[in-house]
Amino acid sequence: MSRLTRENIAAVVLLIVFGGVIWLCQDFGPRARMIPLPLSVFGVILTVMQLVWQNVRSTEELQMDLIAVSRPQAGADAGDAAAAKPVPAKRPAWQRELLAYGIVALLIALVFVIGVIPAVFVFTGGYFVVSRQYGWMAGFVYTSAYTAAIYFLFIVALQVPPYHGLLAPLVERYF
Amino acid sequence: MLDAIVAGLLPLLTPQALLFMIIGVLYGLVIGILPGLGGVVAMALLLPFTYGFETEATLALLLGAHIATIWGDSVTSILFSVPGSAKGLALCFDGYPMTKQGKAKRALAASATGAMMGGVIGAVFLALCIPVIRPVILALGPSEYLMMALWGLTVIATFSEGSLMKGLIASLLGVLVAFIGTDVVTATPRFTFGSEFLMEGISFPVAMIGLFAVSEMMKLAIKGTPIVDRSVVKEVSTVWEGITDALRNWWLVMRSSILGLWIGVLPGVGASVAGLAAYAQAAQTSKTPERFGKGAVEGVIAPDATMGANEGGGLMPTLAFGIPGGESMALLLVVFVGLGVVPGPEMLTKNLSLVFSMVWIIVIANLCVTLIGLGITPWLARLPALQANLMVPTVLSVCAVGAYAVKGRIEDVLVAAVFGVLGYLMDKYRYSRANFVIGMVLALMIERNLHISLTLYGSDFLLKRPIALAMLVFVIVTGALPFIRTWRRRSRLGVSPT
Repeated sequence: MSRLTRENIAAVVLLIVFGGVIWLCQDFGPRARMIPLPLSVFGVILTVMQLVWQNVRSTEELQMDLIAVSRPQAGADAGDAAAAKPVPAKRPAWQRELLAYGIVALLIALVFVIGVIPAVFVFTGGYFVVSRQYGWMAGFVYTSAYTAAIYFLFIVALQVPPYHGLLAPLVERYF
Repeated sequence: MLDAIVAGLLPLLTPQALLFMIIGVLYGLVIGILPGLGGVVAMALLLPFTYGFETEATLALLLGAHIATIWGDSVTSILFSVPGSAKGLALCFDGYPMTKQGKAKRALAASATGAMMGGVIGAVFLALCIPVIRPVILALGPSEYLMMALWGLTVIATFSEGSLMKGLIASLLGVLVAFIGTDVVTATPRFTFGSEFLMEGISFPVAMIGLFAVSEMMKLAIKGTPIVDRSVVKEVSTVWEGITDALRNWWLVMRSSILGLWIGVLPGVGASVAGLAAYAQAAQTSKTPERFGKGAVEGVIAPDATMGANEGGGLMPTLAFGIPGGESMALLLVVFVGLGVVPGPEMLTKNLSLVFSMVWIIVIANLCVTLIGLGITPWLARLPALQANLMVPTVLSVCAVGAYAVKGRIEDVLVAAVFGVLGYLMDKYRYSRANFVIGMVLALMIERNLHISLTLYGSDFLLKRPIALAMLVFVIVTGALPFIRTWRRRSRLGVSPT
């Protein structure tokens, strides 16, 4: 999928969001919609302008728009140029991106299923081992120490009530 | 008054007060570094330990912790682009690019020195302003607060990364997200879809954890290399450079500190607005505004100086009127009640020595934070060079715990993840995350103060509030300044705008 197509999809999604807000605002009283309604109308206008603009300009100028030419051009972070040096890719970009989404989804799933602190232990330890950052033994030791530190800081010192996830009935029965 | 200044210092020189101050500072630094937790949490957790000790020692513990969280926030903003709380947001804009350029030590040292200078200047001005501040505070109302919030919006142009239209869309999106929940003016549930969880709105620290911390870790997981690859980018700066940067930019520090003090004095405005406003004035008054957002040290110094001074300002309405300047000051009021101290006009007459004790605490705590901060900077500067496989699981898991800890609601972990994905996509398609957050921060403040202004003064409230009108002119002038400068520069160079 080309960059332009993806930019267009992003703009259309935004258009739907702003349009949805306008629709939802109809149910609010005049004072409650006084700010959100005009702002979402403005959002629709801006997004349509952006959509038109990005399709009439060449692909190289996708990050430029009508208003930007009249102001200082910030561009990307200078540090990015040096720090984000391309790395020899082991997998295609879309696979790595999918993996990143998967990592976040896995953590959330673990938190909801086994609770916050056990999720920290399983996720961190699993990541260390699967990514081959550490071996089994070293991974276990570091993960245990890290989880203990998190437990002490948040649960003991900051007195955050622990969440046990779907294991809550078991924890309540035996602890 | 001189007697009160000396009388305010003496109780702080006892071993108990000094020990409490150091404990508070160390504790505050740790809390500040943790994502989602800031000065309010630090103070709230100390409340049970505030009874049975000397009043000044107790205040040293509380205020010391609160002040230390400010620099703690800055550390993670600069090193990882992960603001510990809303206050640290402005530090991400130039602090993080400096880290990626191998200037982490310089950025951290400039930040610590700027915060210390801001704190001291703020405290001194507070001491000087005590006799005259009362009529000034009383002259300001919701219309003027509205103008302050609008001024914060002018910073949007600075962060639009090549596309002001996308920047504006991002900020509009942020504003609309801030409206999720029950409208405080009309009690109407907005965009909640019948969800009880959404009635309270999106928690700001949780959204920040997602937008910045989670999305940065996603980027790191994709890239597979450290934030700063030392084989490519060496650490080229020193702590001393950062210190001299802050000292060299003394006028910027002075302006930012007075701004921070001023915003602190206004009840309900908050340090997050202060940091953004400081960044806006630094960028708008700079001769080279194009450097901002790319690693300009002034972009680090100004917000830190402002936030340092903001605490002193926040004390003023709390002490003089019993009106807390923010959540942390509200907690301080609770402590006052426990200690038998009654805030009000009499604080500035009968209890003046206690007021000056607090001024001294701000000064001493800022010095302690800076000394400790400068001492640990060389070690902190190594953190961005840690392997991605080490950073991603540890930071992501602490983000999950942090998001949960903010309000003890497990749904917030999911919210952080959603905002993480949103932040990643926004970054990928160049819709500024900074603008999104600015919109979120200022939205409710603008809406609330607009409603109150309309109710109190009618639709022509600007004509009835000359100070607000003058502030609006100031907002328009400072907002237009970068455009005018660019236009003049282009005209001089004979460059066509198309």
